[in-house]
Amino acid sequence: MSEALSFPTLLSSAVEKSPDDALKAQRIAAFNSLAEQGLPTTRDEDWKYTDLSVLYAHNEEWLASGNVWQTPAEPDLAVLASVSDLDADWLIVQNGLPAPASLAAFSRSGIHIASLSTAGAAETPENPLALLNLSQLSDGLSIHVDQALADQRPIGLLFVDDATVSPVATSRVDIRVEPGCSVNILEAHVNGTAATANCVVTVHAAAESCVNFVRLQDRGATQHLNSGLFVTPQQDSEFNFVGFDLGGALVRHDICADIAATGSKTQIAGLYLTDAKQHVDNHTRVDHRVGPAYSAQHFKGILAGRSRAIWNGKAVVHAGADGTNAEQSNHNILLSRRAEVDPKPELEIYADDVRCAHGTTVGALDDRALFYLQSRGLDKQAARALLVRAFAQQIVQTIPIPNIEEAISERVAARVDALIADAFDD
Amino acid sequence: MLAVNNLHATINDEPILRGVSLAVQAGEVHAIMGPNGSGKSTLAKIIAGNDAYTVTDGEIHYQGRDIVDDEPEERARNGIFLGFQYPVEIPGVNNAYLLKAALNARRKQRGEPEIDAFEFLKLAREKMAALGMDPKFLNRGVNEGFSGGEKKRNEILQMAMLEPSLAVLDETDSGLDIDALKAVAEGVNTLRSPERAIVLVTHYQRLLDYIEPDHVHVLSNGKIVKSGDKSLALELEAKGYDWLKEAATA
Repeated sequence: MSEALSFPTLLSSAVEKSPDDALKAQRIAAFNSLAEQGLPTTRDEDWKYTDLSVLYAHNEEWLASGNVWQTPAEPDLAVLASVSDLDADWLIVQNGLPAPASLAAFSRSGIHIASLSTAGAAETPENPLALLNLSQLSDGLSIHVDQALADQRPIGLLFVDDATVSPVATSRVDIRVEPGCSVNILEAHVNGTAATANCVVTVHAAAESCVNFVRLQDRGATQHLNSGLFVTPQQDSEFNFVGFDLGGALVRHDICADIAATGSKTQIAGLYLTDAKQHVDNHTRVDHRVGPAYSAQHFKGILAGRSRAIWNGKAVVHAGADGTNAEQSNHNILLSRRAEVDPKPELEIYADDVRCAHGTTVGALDDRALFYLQSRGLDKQAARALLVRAFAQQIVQTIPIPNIEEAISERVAARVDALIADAFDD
Repeated sequence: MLAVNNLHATINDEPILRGVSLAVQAGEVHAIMGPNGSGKSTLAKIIAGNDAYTVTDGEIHYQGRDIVDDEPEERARNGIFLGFQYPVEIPGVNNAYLLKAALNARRKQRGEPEIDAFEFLKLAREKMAALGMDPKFLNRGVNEGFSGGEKKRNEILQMAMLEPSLAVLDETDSGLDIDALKAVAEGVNTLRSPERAIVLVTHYQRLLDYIEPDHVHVLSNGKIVKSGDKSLALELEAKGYDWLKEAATA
């Protein structure tokens, strides 16, 4: 508690000194909302498994440095080598700021890019970390799509950071897709050096639009990440998301869809592969305010070492949202006795005519499948590896974006092999 | 080829096999019949090395060596094939991948080079055509979403590719319609040869109309209670198993 005391004062004075741009009023409003609800602690139900005090300490250190408001630097293009296997047109977000040269170099028909310091941010949900993000956001990206681009190369959002610039990287991207239009987004967090990143992405999917979204999180072994993805699907729109957590020390994702128009299809899937002392927390929430609409939350995890994962999937079917169809599942393989996973499916239903299904499992490998493979001549270790890879592959197969599945599949397989190698050392 | 001597086995300390002895020579087809719960599936799984069961006494000699302590994969590489009663669905593992890995494990054991991709596909397509299987099954997950008949055909395909010395087929006929049964039987008959032995575990005589056995054994309460030629199967079909159960407990 004591270290949190100076936080509001520091943040308040930082916000006052913030640049006089299109974001200023929004920063102040966000700070006021945050001040009202306070920063979450492990005493809050939604945050009970994930202790953010380390993250707050980094953030406070950054605020105390007085170096919050930054202007973007030119990107180190060498960082693109880390994603050269992924077929995308990359925009580089460096220490939270869109890199000007990469913006200038980006030219695609039907995609319009602006900075949030001139355009202002889209509506921000009352999520405390999203409010913190906006309070201290120097700049961000606005991406506006007005063509059907689902069969084309994804927009790559590459998040990199450098501790020599700042210990915290605060970034935001607002995506707006016009009616009947579509786009592919590939968000990548790669090994940087900053202690903490706070990244918020909002997606407004207009009527009959389609947004395919893949996130690859592969931060360094000592790095933290807090991310929020907020989607507002409009009538008959489609949102397909798959997230991969391969790296990071302390990772928390909030993925929220707020369905206030009928006929939409929202699919949220994820795979977390953890070992050592990694902590990965995926919180998903879908609000069905009207029906009919479909949502799915399907997560899988493979855990080794002393790692810990949380999946908390919530579907809230509000009164009158008849015709809702909501699915949830979470399946986990524990490769180590000391790994721990907390699957928590939650359904809150206030409507009558709904279909909701959920299932969770935590276990070791299926002995019958293992024997089947051995009886075909595969040795036990190879059979185990094959089954674990296959388990992960089922999420990889749901990638909705063309030409990136193979590269991600290889990254996932390499990570799975590392987990298995560790498991046998156990 | 195979000599099972006084085999006793348990699962969770519950005795299942209580002294099974069986000798199978190269070139022979044996049928093991018996009522539900007699231990015939257990015998098949133990020959293949399933470690859910514990062998408490007796031996299993294969090609002159006791294999009781061998891992299932060693037995497979040395030419033992188990056709599963319930082939396992393994989503995410490609059928072609498994077939190729299985074939290469066997070839490696024999000191042969790995099969190349073209040769593999040619061989697999040829065997599939003979079994009336659509080549698209190669690219599906192992047994994923296959019907009962498709799963059994897939077992026979694996057997045909691996060319085992000893094939143990556990209730391969169960749940098959007549066309699938004929296709599966033909696959087995194609494999009959003087160097190879086949053990059919079956509840019904029906399969034996299509695959003619040299010897028929009846397993009851964990023991072989009667052996004979193919006429024994017909006798069982006519009289049922009860008269033998009484003989076993008497």
